[in-house]
Amino acid sequence: MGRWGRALDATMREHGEAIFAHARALAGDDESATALVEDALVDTFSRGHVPESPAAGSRAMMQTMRRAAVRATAPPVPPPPPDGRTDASSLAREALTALPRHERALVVLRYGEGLAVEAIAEETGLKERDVREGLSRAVALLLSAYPGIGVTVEDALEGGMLETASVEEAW
Amino acid sequence: MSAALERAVAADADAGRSLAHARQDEVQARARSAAARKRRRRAALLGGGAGAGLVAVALALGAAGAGSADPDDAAASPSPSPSVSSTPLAQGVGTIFAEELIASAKPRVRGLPVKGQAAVLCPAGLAPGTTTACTAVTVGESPLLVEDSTISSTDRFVADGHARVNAAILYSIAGSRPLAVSDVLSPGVVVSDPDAEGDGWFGGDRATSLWDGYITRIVVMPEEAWGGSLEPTAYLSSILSLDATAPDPGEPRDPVWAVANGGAGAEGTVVTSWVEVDSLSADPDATLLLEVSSPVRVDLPGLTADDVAASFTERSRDDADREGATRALMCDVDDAWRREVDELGWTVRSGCAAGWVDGTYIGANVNSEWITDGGAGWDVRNASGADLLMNSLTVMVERDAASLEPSESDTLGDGYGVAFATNAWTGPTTRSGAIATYGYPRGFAWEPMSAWWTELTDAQLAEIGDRGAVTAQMAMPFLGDDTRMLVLELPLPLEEDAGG
Repeated sequence: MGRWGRALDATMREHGEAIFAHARALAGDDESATALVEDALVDTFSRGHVPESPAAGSRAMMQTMRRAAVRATAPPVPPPPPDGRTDASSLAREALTALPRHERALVVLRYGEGLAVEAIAEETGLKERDVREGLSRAVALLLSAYPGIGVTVEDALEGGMLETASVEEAW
Repeated sequence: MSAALERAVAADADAGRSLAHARQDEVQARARSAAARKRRRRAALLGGGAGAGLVAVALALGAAGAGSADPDDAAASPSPSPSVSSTPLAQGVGTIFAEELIASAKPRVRGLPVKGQAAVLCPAGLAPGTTTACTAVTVGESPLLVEDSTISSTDRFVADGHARVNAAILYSIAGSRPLAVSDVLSPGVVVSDPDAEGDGWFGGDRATSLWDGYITRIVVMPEEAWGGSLEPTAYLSSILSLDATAPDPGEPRDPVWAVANGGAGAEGTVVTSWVEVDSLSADPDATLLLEVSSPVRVDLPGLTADDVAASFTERSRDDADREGATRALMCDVDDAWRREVDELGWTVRSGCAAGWVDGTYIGANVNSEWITDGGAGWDVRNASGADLLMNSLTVMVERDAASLEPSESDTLGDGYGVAFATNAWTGPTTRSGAIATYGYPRGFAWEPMSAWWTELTDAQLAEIGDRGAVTAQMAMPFLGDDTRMLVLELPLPLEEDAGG
């Protein structure tokens, strides 16, 4: 299988859990997350350049997944029936589950990874204007689903980190 | 900031960790297979882009050399007129054959936008390579073939009045239904002004425009359909390698020469290819070809042996390292060598003149990160800053580098390298060079900073000991001179901390 095959195996052996965790957060359901991981694996390890280390492989996959997730056009998977729980975390998760894929991925990058608009744009290859519009729509949808979720458009657009370097460690 | 939202995201991430335990193995296995297929295809494209050559095109239109399309020929062999279908392709089921597409065909007119898949309807029964006039149509309501521009590539090389353009183009099947086509597009025609009225100049593999009037296209017939089909997302590829020489004053503008030299002259140029769609009928009235045109993406020109060898000076076996210079070999090759290479895929050419060339073209560093069972590995990379037109990269082991006793070469391990019991020197200023072609004697482009990985086992390292040496040898062809090959040499560091 050669060097790329060893690199693929080592990357998944060392970072597989974190990669699936990130994919599941970005995509919102098991099937989409699985497809996201598989596509990113093929994309990352079929190129001429093979990542230099498992960490580099993981970083390349994470970015590929983010770029794919913010470009997903499929509607969200219908959420399961409410489980009757009314705590803030459960309500927030229901609201997140109802977001379209594009908006969901932006919210995960903004609130799961704490990235600022500029960093999200750089990481995903989107224009800053599109990131702002997507986050604004996402906040409106989250607030309509759960008014007490505690997000504002101002915070979504103005907060967050400008650097992406330390993000992978969080997963 | 919303703590509830952060917890919601974290909960989904936890679900992903559980998902990893359930699905990681199956996902990894599928991805490995898919990546291997993609890499194989890419390798074939990169290599084949240089070496496959072109199907000999029989010029049916006009005189030898620059033929001119004769409208009477088109009139004499009219293609069927397209009819209109009321059944969208998307509503069909099963494999798409030519009849279904022909039923959906609409006229395609020069200068108007294409809605659907560009195609041509040609007279039935023409041999592959025949040039003919066909009716331009569109079929379906959206493209059936979509280019993968992340893999398609164009490389160009110019040296001393000679030029070479290699193009590797990859398309995939769009939509949700299998398509009755083979996975090989025709080699393609380089077209400099694709939307213009044709000027009658057609060079077999290059043209100003393929339009002959408003609804007729000049087409080079591709290979016949193979009787199979391709599933959605499967790939079709087209490869071509074209040479050109500087045109004399008054000669027609050569699109290949223009592409090789880049700049404004290459803008708007496309490579147009075709693939036949199989028919359900054993005796169809017409042949339907899908037509694709890929924009030529001109990057910086690459380096050939002509460029690198310009500063070649003699080297003797006692020479010390030279700052800013690269070890090289100049090897004479002939038809007998070419026959040997055709048969074996690689040879060791003895008696090559050893020399130095100015500049750094390749670099190497130890990279044993992926080796878990002993031995050593190296990344050998293109450090020239440009594409290098190359034939092969081979690892050479010399078990006694200082010995004055010559020795024959032997295959190393499973055949990816060459070993000498003593060393490769055949005289005070001559050495042996390993030259492989990987089946593509015309060479292919090695991208800047891309690396090849090579490794030796523990046993092979033990044979080298402290008297041996390991050298990477990279063979490069000349443009316009097939009697010589240049081989660049780079000693590979044997210590982990030795950089390259």
